[in-house]
Parts: sequence; C-alpha cells; structure tokens
Amino acid sequence: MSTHTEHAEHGGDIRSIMTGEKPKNGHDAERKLNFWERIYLVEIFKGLVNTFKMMFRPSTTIDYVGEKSRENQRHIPAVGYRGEHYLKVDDSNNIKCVACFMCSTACPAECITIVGDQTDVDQFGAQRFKAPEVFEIDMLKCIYCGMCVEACPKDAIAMSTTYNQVGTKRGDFIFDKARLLKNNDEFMESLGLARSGKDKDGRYPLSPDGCGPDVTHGVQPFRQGVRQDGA
Amino acid sequence: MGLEQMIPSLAGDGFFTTQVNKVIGWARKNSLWPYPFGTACCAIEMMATLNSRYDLSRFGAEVIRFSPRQSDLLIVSGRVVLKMMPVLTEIYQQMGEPKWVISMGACASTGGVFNTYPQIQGVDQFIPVDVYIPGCPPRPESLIDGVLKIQQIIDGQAERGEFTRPTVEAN
Repeated sequence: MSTHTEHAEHGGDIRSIMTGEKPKNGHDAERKLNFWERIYLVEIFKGLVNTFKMMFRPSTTIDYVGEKSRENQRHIPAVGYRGEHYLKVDDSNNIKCVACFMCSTACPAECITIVGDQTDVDQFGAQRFKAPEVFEIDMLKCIYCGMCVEACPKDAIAMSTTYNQVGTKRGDFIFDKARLLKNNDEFMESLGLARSGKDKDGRYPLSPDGCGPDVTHGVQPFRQGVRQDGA
Repeated sequence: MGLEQMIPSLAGDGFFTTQVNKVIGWARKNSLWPYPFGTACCAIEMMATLNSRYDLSRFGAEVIRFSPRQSDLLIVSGRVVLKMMPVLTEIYQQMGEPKWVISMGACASTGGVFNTYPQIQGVDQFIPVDVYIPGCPPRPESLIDGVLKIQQIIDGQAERGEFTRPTVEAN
C-alpha cells in the first residue's frame, strides 16, 4: 500500500489525483502472488469450469439453414414487417392500382417506375380510369421504408414478409407487375386468405378499410413472429 | 484461376481433373475468408452475422481478414463515395485469385437513396460483383444467404454474374 500512495503523490494514478481518494486494494499491482496463483493451473481450471458449463447450455445460434432447422428458431417476421412489395387485386381480380404515381413520388430512393394505361369496362359497366401498364420496383434500390404503402390512396401496394432474396444479376431484382402480383398470391396463400385478401367471414383483415379502430390495421390475429426463447 | 493454372493437367476435362476440381471447390467453399469493407450501417449487420446468434462460422466464413492479400471474399457493405472508390478498387486488385465479391445492401448495389454526385451508383460499375443482397440494411439471414450463394457459385451450382465494364470508345 505504501508504494501505491507514493505513486499517487507522484501523479502515477490519474484517478486518485482527480478524486483525491486513495486507490482501492483491487488496483494494487504490487500484491505478491502465492504459490497456487503463480503456477496458474488453478486459475486455468477455474476458467475451464466456466467453459464446460457453457457447453451444456442450449445454443443461442439460430438454425437458419439445414435439415435440423426448427421453425421456432428462425426469424419469422410478423405481418407488418416490411419485406418485398406486392400489388393487391380486388374481388374481381382487377389490379387495384390506378397509376396515380403517388408511391413513386413518395419513394425516397426513386425505385418505382410506373407507366399508366386505360383499362376496360369493369363489371358495373363503368370505365376504370387508369391502371398501370408498367409497374416496376427495383428491389436493390428500394430501402424498404414503406412510404409507398403509406402514400397509396387506393390501398393497392403493400409489403409482404419475404426478406431474404439474393441474386447474381442486377436485372433479377427489377420486379415487374407480374412478379408483384405473384408475390400477392403467395403471401395471401401463406396467410390462408383469398387472392383479394378476403378471409372466410368476408372481411379484409389486411386492408385498412376493414380494420375499424384497430391501430394494428387488423393484422393482430395474423401475427406469427416467433422469437427464440430467452432472446 | 489460381491452382488450376499452376497445374497444367487440371486444364482438361478428364475424370481425374474433374474430381480434383471438385475437391478444390469443396475446400474453397468451406474456407471463405471475407474481407469486410464496411463503410456504413450494413457493417453493423455484418458484425451481427458474425456473432454467436447467426454464427457465420458454421459456413466456414469465420476468419475475417483485414488484409486483402489473405482474403478471397470481399463484402462491400455500405456507401462508397467517389473518393473511396479508388481505395476499394485497389483492395480488390490486391486480393489474390480466386476472389468473389458480395455487394451488400442498397447503397453498395445501386446507390440507394443517395442519388448524388459523390455517391457511386453501384460498385459493380467498377469491380465485378457476384452476389447482390437487397435491403437497407439486409438482415443477417440475408447475408448468410449471400454467402451460401457464393458457395453455390464456387461449387458450380449457380452461375457467376456477368461483368460488363462500360468501355470508353476511342474517337
């Protein structure tokens, strides 16, 4: 201890200078090691006991790929996760989008390309004003912010939970209208809904129109995100 | 590339050489040494991929090398600006053959939201990119998928992306 106080007086310990306190025993580097501490075997064994304890704990690694991959170990995002886009259709399988360019205007990455087109007469005999002839999203440029979904006045674009798409060509990531509609079919099928997003009771649980006061946009019953235990 | 050029008998298509190539490919794909070119938030996800929860070392891509001479997989994760691009090009050229490149995230692949003059609108304008990973940033699972895709490319199950450099025509 005496050596340490001398150090403090000579400005060796910055903490004791700043606080004016004596350094604690734990900082005393001058302590003599006894015999067992000097041969280090006991300390190594103590460390190994900790290592062996950890070996029998359940693994924190998720089984992302492989045959042993378990469903509850993977990240399955909840509905509402912002993955790949899909274009919705209405009950008569017409595309909901009216090519108003709101989404491509709101897009910060400017990754949406729309070319408008006039459509045929719908089932009520009315002329639908517009529909997209070309609707392309560059999935590589997209930052998955969801602003297109918020901007859409017709609830025509939304985001599915698919997020792990990799590819070797840049052109593979430009999703056209057919691919986005295919995304819609796949996503609705995985949720057990009809192609237009209608469930068995005739409601539209994914649509903001049918959600009422529910701030989750009606997606709460579909929440399937599963977290790993203890995560 | 690499070993195939050093052994002349490996250039053929015979049974023996095919088997040797298979063994070489198996060794290569299970010991990828990545060079982390992390310049932005994608690098955080890359670190998360290396952690115990996602554990990239299961796929052999465990040893992160900070020297391009020792690595064979370049993970470009993050924005690359005009001043950084010569550095990245030099790093790519310093890597020994065979080498593969992952372009991770929107910024490295296409420029993302940064449609500005200093931002490189996709590193594939300058270096050949094998696997693109979309996302801003991509989840660690996506990076694992990208590394698995690189393994498929090494194995010959997936095709390598074409690299067409924009050529300057002489007047």
